[in-house]
Amino acid sequence: MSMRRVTILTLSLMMAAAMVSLVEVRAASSGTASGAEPEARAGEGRELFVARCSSCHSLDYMEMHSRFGTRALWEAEVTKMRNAYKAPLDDAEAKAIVEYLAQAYGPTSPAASVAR
Amino acid sequence: MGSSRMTVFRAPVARRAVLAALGAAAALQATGTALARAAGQLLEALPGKRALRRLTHRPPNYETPLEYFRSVLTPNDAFFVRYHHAVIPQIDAAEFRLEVVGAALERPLTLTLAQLRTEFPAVELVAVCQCSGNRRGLFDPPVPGLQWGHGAMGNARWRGVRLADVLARAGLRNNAVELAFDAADAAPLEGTPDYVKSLPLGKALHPDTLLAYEMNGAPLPELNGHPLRLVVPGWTATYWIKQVTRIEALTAPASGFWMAGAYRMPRSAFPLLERFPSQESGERAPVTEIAVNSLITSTESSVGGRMRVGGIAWDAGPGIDRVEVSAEGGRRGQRAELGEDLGRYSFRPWQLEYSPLSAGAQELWARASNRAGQTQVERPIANPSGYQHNAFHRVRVEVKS
Repeated sequence: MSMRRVTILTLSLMMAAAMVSLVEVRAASSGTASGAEPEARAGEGRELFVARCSSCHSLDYMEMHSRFGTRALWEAEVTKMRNAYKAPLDDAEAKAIVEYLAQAYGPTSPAASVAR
Repeated sequence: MGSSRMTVFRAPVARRAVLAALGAAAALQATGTALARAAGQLLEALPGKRALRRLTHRPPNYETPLEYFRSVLTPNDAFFVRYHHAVIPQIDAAEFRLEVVGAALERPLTLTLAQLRTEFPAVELVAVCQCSGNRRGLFDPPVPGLQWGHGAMGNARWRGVRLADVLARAGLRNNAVELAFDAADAAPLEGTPDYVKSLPLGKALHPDTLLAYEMNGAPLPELNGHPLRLVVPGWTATYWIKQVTRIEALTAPASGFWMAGAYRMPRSAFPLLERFPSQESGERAPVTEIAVNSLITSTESSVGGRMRVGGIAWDAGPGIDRVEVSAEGGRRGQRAELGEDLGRYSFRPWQLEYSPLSAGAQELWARASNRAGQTQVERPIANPSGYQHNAFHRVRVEVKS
């Protein structure tokens, strides 16, 4: 069994330089076809969302919730990410990300019919 | 674990088995399971694993397809994968160290895997490891969280040492309140709460609670906790800490996010046999034991309206007493014959030949009850995080004329 995880750094370095390292990993394994992590859906606020959220988790979490992704759901999720997971978002960024998610990953979003 | 390499989990690039949504849906229908929400999700082989159903890439969350539950023991390479955090170390067994520390210990210890294997008696038992949120994706209305189908669970023969034996060597003081267990994984962000879970003394010292180094006769798979994991028979997988590197004997209840802020349910909605009083706060209680449950894994129609139905049932340890399969909205129940008994925490296989059924489309229900008098519910019990879904398993079948 060959492990294909990308070894990058020791734990201490990892924790100190997590954001930078993740960007490197993503760049190193980009260009994969099927099975690659989903791209963020189009919409206003997409770049901020990708920058703040995808460093910790893949965006299939969003796809998975989109069939019932109401604004209230996304507000609760972003609040949980800030309070419990300590996502470094200020109030304005959190608001912008909720707006983006409600628009791009709601049950009535333009991409919903394609994704499901 | 300064000497171990740290990795950020990435899905594999090569040797990938991807089924189109239509193919996956057809395969599920063939097993007699209608899981419409699975359509659009992919089967994909992680390193060391067969193709499992992917929920998320990173952190990796993959569930076991239903076909593997036709055997009582779930193969290691088909066993589900569930992580909260994306930074997952690869730990060399020879480098591994388990620290046993805390204010409630006489003699803090550091143990190697070799010491665990040679200096303590080895114990084996079969037990179901099931995510608290298994079947969350079947709640209606939907509940946020990983949208699991039936496969966030598995049954294995675990081999390791009794946690109680390790704690005895360390000398547990009488001021101990809980034991806390730290996993080696981490979140990419420094501020995200580390995954630490605790157990009450009674469960930690129970002779069936193990520190396991083998699963089904082989070392633990990388994605199931290699080289050492906690095995807490009867309790949900949130307590089964993978890659456990640190045990702390606490003189006050654990207060981190993963105990105080997650894996909680309204207490009155779920009557429990085993509670965790030091973690209860009013109406909010931690998830503890696995709810009695069953799964239909095969149906085969034959002439004369006969239908051979097979499946598994399990609970938190009292043991399965009976499984009934019914047609016509539960009105015509027939009792299944229970199969091989691998122990009170194991899946229990069952089968029956149901007859007669009228030709055409039918819905069959399976309902298990245990020796403690607990039984599956007709509708899942709503709760904010979508835990403990144990409604009757319903499948659509086509009966030959």
